Parts: sequence; structure tokens; C-alpha cells
Amino acid sequence: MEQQLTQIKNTISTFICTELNVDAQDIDPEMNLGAYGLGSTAATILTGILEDTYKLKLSPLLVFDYPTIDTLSAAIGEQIKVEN
Amino acid sequence: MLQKTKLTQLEIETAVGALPIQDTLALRTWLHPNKKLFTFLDDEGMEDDRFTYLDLWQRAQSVAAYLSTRTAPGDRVLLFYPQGLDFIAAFFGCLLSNRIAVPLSLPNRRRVDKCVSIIVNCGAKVAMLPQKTYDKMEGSFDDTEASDLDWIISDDIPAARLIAIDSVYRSSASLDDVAFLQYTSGSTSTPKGVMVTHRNIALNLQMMRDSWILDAQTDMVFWQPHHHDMGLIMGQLLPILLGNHTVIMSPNTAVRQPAIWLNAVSHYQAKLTGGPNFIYDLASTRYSEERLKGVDLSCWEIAPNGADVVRQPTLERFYSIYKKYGFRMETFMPCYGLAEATLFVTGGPTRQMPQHMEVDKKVLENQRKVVHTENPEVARMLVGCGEPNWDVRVTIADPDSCKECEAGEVGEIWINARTVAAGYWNNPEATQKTFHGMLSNGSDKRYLRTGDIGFIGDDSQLYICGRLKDLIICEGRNLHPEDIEYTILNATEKLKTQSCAVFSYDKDDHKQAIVAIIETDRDLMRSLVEQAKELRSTIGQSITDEHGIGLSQIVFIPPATLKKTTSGKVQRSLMKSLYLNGELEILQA
Repeated sequence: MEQQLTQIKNTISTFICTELNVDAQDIDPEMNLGAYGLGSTAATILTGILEDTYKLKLSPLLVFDYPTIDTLSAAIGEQIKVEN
Repeated sequence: MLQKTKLTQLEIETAVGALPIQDTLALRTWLHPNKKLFTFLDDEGMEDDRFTYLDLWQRAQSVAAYLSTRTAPGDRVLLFYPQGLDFIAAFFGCLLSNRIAVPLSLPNRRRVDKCVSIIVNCGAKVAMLPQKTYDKMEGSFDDTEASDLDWIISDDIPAARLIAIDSVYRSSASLDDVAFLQYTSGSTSTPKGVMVTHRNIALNLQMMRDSWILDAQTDMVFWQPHHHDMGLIMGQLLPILLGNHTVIMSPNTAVRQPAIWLNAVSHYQAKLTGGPNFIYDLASTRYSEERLKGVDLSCWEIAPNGADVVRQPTLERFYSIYKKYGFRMETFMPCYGLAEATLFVTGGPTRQMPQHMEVDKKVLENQRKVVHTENPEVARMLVGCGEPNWDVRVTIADPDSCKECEAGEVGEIWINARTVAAGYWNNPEATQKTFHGMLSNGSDKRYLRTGDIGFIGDDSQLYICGRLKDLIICEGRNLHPEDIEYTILNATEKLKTQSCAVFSYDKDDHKQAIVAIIETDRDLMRSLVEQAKELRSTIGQSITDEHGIGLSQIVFIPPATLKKTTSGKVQRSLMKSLYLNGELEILQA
């Protein structure tokens, strides 16, 4: 479980770093993703990537409801648990 | 409807190009009431809603009847709708009752400024929207200049009784009446609503049909939003002129899962579907073999790529991945258009390889001339954005002298056509400047000045090289640097007294970067090291909240190094070239 959570966090951080040009050392899991420049289109793309990686159907609003790496990973982890 | 028992095919073709679009809907309802017109797919790609031609006519009819009790002809009616068929019914309800439709994107609660300035500019007193949108938006305009808007909840509009097909009628609209206002241009402080007339729409749709060889069998899939000219004109009005079946989905669905879009193309055997360049890139990066099982894209004849820079590497990558599903390179149709000319200006010939050329970028920038080159050091790859329709005159002019350019010269793209809109609503000054361009040759022909820079190649294709003004085009949307700069400087108290310049540049073949250069004062410069991290995240958050995009880089520069004109205007293009040439003195980047 803990391992999976770390994996989810990594998926999100990797996206933020590559897509938004952010240095890995500047990633703060408690920071609002908007602060890195995650706009509405990028948030939608991230949702799709998370769906594909974890074989889930996510709410299009999830990233807006859980706007930090920590809260978003927890919400996805929770959904994986419920669906299994 | 008509004093005839039936129409010949030629009469139908002529009529649909000559009637206001709502009358074309009436005609088609009379001709084939039960033919499927629109299917809406939910965010998983499942069918969620359907309209036959008769369904749309009836729904629009109900809306029109209701609007007649609450508004007067010529009134502007704001339309706040999520993507879906309710919007189309509301839009046609406006047209059938001679109200001017104003389709807008849904304002974010924190982002009502721009919306309010549009409402003030168009003078609308009424807004129409579904209940669920009203619930979300309620109170958004409190304490603004738009607080006294009258709201019409379209769910409450009583449905019209089933009508006899013979009773469909032609509206009282004349072709020169304004059908709707398209607010895609203009910044927050100066909104610009393009006045699109019924004649503009009918002719532009007919041009697309004829130039691209489309007919009632050209079924389409569209995901572009209806508050954007491509989504509305091509995605939701063209189907009615053609008499086809069109599948619509939300932009979020296609962006979240491009495979849902491609599956729909295959499932409905669509011949026309596309979008701005980024959707093809996204479909390539998000390619998933698993999600595309059994997909057949050989039906796809035309893939418009417009509203943003068209990139050759994007086309090649998409083709290399999707050819095994039957996709053809000839399907790509790079095109060019703008709301000020209704939509379509150039595109095609279709079903042929898209054209491209490599030009010397130094000569292009410094001398404004087109010189072919094979030297990769100086080469810039440009994709041809098609030829104009026979009825459209595209001229390249020197933006300062207004002299027509010679072949091989680069200049501003000017357009003279019957599809050029009537101007900007309630803005004679901007109308004069943009719509009444006159060449220096003494001709009294009026041209639309697009603000885009380009040339016509030896292959008769229009090539776009950039923007005359500082406008930033991102994911098919127009962003004004002054709006972004304003947001940055108002993000925190500490920045209120600083200055900044925002611009975009092509980082590589695939990506555009948006850069903010912020000039510090002495106080901020001294404390920058401690404050920078927090400032960056505050700025980043404000920009995504206000504009829905991300900045690629925030650069802090020393006091008094931001270049301004003598009148104090920020020189964005000069800052951009200093930045790109590494000549900028940087405190922190």
C-alpha cells in the first residue's frame, strides 16, 4: 500500500517535471499543483495518464478537488482500494 | 415550407448556401425529419443524447417561443452551456426568434472579470443556461456590473407540441442580420465581439462544402467547444448545411482520453474530424494499443489542423503511429481561419499530401523574404495552410505602408471576402482598424487585417509565419500578454509596483514556451533569494487560476532593465529577442 502510494506520487511528479519543466528538487508534495503551472488542459491530460497507469476511471474534477501531490495520490490510492 | 412537393438535388445545394442556417435546418427537417443529426457522447464515449433534425427543430422552436415572451428581437442572449445538445437547441432558439446569440465559456468563479466585460460590451440583459450550470454559477456576478442579469433556465422551458412537418417555416431573419457574437478576440479590458451575419455563416459553410468536397455522407466527430469558432461553425453548423450525422463529445473527453475520440471516428465511420495541432501530438504521446483494439481509421478523409501553428513533425509522428489503423497522410488538411472571417479562409486541396517547405529563418525575420534553404542551421519548417476558396481574396501587405507585397515577400495577411464579418460589436474604433484595411494602391476595396504574418508560396498555399502583435496562441486559444502580465503583477502585493513582459516562443518542433520576464525594484532585488520560491508559486497559481495555462519560465531581471518605449509601453518583442539571444541580464531564472 505504502509502496503503491509512492508509485502514484512518482507518476504525478514525473508528469509535473517533464510536462511543466519543473526541477525534481523543486517538487513539494504539499504544494498546490497550480503553482507549478498545471492549467486546465494539463490537468485533464494528467487525469488521463493516471487512468491508464492505474486502470481506473477517474472523475474529471479529481485534480481540482485534490490539488496537491499528497492529497491526489491519497485519493487515487483510496479509489484503487475501493475498486479491489 | 415551400410551394413545391419536392426539391431537386441541385435546388437543395443552392438553397442551403443561400438561406440563414436556421432556415436550412427547417428545410432539412422538412426533407428528412427523422434522420439522425447529432449524437452526444459522455466522458466514457457512450451515447448520452441524440437529436434527429426534427428533434432539434422542435427544441429550438420551444426556446424561440419562450424567448419571445421574455426578450425583444435583436436582444443579445448570453449562452452558458457545457458541451452538449442543449446548447445547440438554445443557439437555434436564438436564431429562430431573431435574438443575437452570445456563446460564452463557463466562467470560473474566480475568473468572472473577462466575462463581465463581455456582458457590459454586448449589453445583454438575459442569460440562458441549464439548471445544473446555474447552480454552479449562482452568485458569481454579485457585486459586479453584471449583477442584474435576468436568468433563463432552459430546463424550465416547456416543450413545443409535436408539429406537423408541413408546418416548419422560414424565419423572418434577413441575411445581413447579425446571427451571433463571437468573443474569442480581445483582451479583458477590451473585449471584441465579432458580428457574424447569417450571410457570413451560409457562405462560409458552403465554401467548406465546395472546397473540401463534402456532402450528406460526410459524417463527422467533433470535440472542440462551441464557444470557439471551429467548434461552433465547423462542428455544429456545418452538419446542418450538409445534412449529415455528427457525433459530439466534450473537449475534456478527447484531451483526457484521445483514444475515445479515435474510437468514435472508427465506430461512426466519420470522414471529417480534427482539431488544433496539440490534439494530434497528444494522440501520439498517449497512444495506447490496448485502447485502440479493432479501430479502423481508413474512413477518415479530412483531418483539419488549424487554430494554432501546424507542425510538420506532429503530422509525421501521428501518421507513423496511426497508419497501421488505416490513417493516410493525405487525410491531413492544415488550414487557416479566424472568427473575423467567420471561420474558414484557406484549406485544401483535400485528400492530397500536405505541403511544407524549409525557409531561411534569418532572412525571413530580418528581410521579410522567403528564401528556401536546406541548411539545418538556419532552416525553419513551415507547413502550407491551404488555398483560399474561389470567392476569397487573400493578399499579403506591408503592415506599415499598406503596400501589396511582391511574390516571395512576407507581410500581413489581408482578406477580402463576403465571409468577412460585419465588425466588432459596439466598437467602431477597433472595427475601423481591423476590418477596414485599405491598400495603398488607391483601390476602395476593404480588407480584413488579420494581424497574422505570412506569404503565399509558389504552390499557392498560404504559409503562416507568426503574429504581428504579441498575441499568444496556446492550445488553439488566444491569450493576450497584457492580461497575463496584469495577473502576475496583481498576484501579490510585492509585485504590484514591478513591471513585466510576457511572450511565447517555439521551444522545439513540438512545444511552445510562455515566458514571463519580471523587472524587480531595489527592495525586491535585495530580498529575491529568500522570496523567489514563494513568489514563483504564487504567480504560477494565479496564472493557472485566471488563464488555465502554465508559464514555462519566470525570469527576474534587475531594476530598470525592462525595455519600454518612450511612452512607457513594454517592448515584448525586444525583450523576447534579448532573452532568446542570451543578452538579458538575469538575476534569477
